[in-house]
Amino acid sequence: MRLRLLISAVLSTVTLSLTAGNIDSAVNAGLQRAGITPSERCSDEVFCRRTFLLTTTQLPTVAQAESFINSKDSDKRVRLVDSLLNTSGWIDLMVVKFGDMLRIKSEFPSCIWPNGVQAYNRWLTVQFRDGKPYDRIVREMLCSTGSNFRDPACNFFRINVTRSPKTFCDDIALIFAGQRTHPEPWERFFTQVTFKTSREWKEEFVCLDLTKPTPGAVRIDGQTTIHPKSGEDYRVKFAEWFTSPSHRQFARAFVNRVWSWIMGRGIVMPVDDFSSQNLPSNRELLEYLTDSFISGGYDIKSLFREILTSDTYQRTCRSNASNRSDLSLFSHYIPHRMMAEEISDAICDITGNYDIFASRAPEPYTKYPKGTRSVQIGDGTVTTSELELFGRPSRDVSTESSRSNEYNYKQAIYLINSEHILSKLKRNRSLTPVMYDNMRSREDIVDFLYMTFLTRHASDKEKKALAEATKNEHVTAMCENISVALLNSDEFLFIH
Amino acid sequence: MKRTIAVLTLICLASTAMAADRYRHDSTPVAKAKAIIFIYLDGGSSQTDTFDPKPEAGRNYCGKYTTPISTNTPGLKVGPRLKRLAKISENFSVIRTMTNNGINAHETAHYITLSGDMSASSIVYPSFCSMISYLKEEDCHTQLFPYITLTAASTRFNEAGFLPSQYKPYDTGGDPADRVFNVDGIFSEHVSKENLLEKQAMIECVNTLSHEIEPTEESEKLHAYQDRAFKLITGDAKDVFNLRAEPDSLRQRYGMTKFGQSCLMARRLVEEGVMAVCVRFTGWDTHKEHFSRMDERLDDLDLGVSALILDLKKRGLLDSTIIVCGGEFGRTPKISFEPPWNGGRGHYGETYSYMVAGGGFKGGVIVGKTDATGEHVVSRPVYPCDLIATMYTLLGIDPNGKILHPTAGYIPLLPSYGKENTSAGMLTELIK
Repeated sequence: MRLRLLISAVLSTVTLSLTAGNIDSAVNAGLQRAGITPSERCSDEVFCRRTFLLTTTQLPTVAQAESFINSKDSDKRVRLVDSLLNTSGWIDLMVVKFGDMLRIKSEFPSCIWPNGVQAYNRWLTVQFRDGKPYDRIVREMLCSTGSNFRDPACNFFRINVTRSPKTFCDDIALIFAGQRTHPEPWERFFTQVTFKTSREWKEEFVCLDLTKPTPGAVRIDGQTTIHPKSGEDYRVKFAEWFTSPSHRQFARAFVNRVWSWIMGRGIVMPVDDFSSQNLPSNRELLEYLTDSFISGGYDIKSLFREILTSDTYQRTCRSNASNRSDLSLFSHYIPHRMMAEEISDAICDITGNYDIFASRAPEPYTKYPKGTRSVQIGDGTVTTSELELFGRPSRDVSTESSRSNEYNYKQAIYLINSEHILSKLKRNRSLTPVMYDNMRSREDIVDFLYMTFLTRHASDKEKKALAEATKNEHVTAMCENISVALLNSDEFLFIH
Repeated sequence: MKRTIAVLTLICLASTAMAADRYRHDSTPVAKAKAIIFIYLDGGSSQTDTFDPKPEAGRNYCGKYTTPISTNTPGLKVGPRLKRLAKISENFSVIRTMTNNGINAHETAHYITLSGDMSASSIVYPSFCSMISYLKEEDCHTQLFPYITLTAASTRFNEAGFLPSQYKPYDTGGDPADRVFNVDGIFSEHVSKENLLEKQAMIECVNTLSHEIEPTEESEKLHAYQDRAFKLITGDAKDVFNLRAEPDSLRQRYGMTKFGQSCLMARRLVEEGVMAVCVRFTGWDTHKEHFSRMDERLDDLDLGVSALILDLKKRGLLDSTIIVCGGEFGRTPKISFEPPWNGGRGHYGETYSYMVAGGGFKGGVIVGKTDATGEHVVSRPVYPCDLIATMYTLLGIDPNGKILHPTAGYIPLLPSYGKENTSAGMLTELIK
């Protein structure tokens, strides 16, 4: 008994030492092959801002940032990652990302309808809150039946205008295997799926027609043959194979997605276009992450944690002479613009002025409670012109690229001069106590604004320059003008 | 500054190079039109009360609109509220047999009207205005945007479809009938040029990240677009939104309403070089209180559209500007007198009317014939994709061309065009 314990302890240490830092050894091996030196570790300020945004969609508050930056704990980065992955912000983030892929919207082209959308989002929230493994979440969707209102996972089969085994498999391949095409035999497992309506308004059932002939013995890959029996749900055996470790592409596609959410770029790009013509920039890294995700029981949070605590993630975006032109091997962090919801929510959070979201079409109308963050809307049909402007996807297609994080001309005009933004900054509730604190000098106020918007202290030079430039202004005007400038700065708009 | 110019040039070059890949076609029709103004009667306007009156069908069909007005166009009578349009009928043509095969759901009809796509595939097409601004981007030389909606686009369908999101329309917001037409971010009374220049200096002062890191394509874009934005908002181009520059008498002719002044604004935008303008006129979903609501809306429509046609004509712009006017479907020719409708009209996609003018469209022509009650097409159906194909042709776009989809390769520009049951051919009878 004791021996067995000892062996397992030794084994686990061995496994640990093999896995620890394996992201980094895979990345570094790739860099070495290319003759590239990685960049240095980023500052605590940058780490704090980057990690808050990437795990919770929110900026750290000044107090949160200061407490992290001033902490002397040598393990504080890991601790921060662990605590952020246990916030509701992380669940919001996951629901948004899955909502984009699953095209969750009330109306057109996927008509899930408002009540269905709410049920679907609630179901996803529960999955992430309970830490359900990714393979189980997907199996539940692939084998779902029931009402769009009461059995939300079944909405997976309702998102296409044309519903057929082909369109179901197109979605399965794109969303869960990152592939633009699927082998024809997959379709044979989805012939039983059928739909009927109930007497409740806009309710629809996903049902199985058990009279459909069996697909027979289907050779699904090199080793596996699936042979469902007549009278059973043919999807079950398919889903078991599809989400199993032997179908590595399932895990591979997801780790590549999560990697891209965090690093701003996938190991395979576009992240949902795996093919023999589109190879990973670092195969070893991709396969390592896939192994780790499978052996970790498809636990999404562990995958996040592993990436976020790697040295690779913690590199600065400052390049050095050898890695300047590298955009795909992860030698330094590549800045990317915040998502639409992050920008919109950040402005609300900073100023304490929240937007009201509501839907006037389709019926029943949806009113969101005051204080709802845009990241929590959960419905591609409900939007604001601000969210549209910054590239929030309308959820018509499942490709990752349908969310645009590109900066454009209209955004520039809007951020510089929109009445909507300016009036929020003018009524900046959270700044009031700071502005009227007589103890603070103008330079201190500049510093506070830097902490608020950029999660770092202003340099002496910056403090002096901005205090000087606004010296003739009343303190409220000063705060407003500096806020507008900071809001438009590259350092604010980009996750860096 | 130099770097900014270089980046802008790069962006321009890249988009020119892209344009060739964007779209494949065998022929390039000669462009007659340079711009398009879409007057979108959102909610679905009644065809029998406007361009296809049926007084002989009796009061159950025509209600109080018993006496339509004759026009100069042979065979064309229009609803009694369209007095001004009736007088200038030689300038426009009427399609009486638009059909979407009887689709009566707003969201689907809306999509079909704007995209022309009835193929029910999993590909979501862009609206024709977004498509035009994408395909003809090179010909568009405005400091504003190629496609603008007055004043807000519908949120029912993302008009960019599979195109990049920057091809969505720019929504002006505000109300052009207000004392000052406030276009958020661009045109407002409250912001002075000095103030903006100070703001520009301060933004430059805090934009420090890109000095420290190797500039990326995205960070370069930030600086280039910020410069361009300041050029617009501190320059003259934004004054296109200053409607007070127009003589009062002309503004009155358009009607001092949100719709009327939007029509005037549309003309000014076309003059400024904007390629596609959508004047979205809402409130046509008249299930209840149909006739009282129609009285009001039709007066606005009559004033705004007639003034727009005459104004463009006077300025020599009518021949190069398409005007197209209609909704996502029509309304039931038979009135629902029963409660709860009490004299309303429901959705009707089986057949409905559109009006077209300018941009190479003939005036004074009627296309198609409906039956005695206006409920069915008798001859020459016209599907949304047929109308869009005709407009594309007038704008110099081959409607049989193929467009590059981000994942599906080259796909038809108009998937339903030329297909049985979703197309009945180009409107050659309307092309000059």
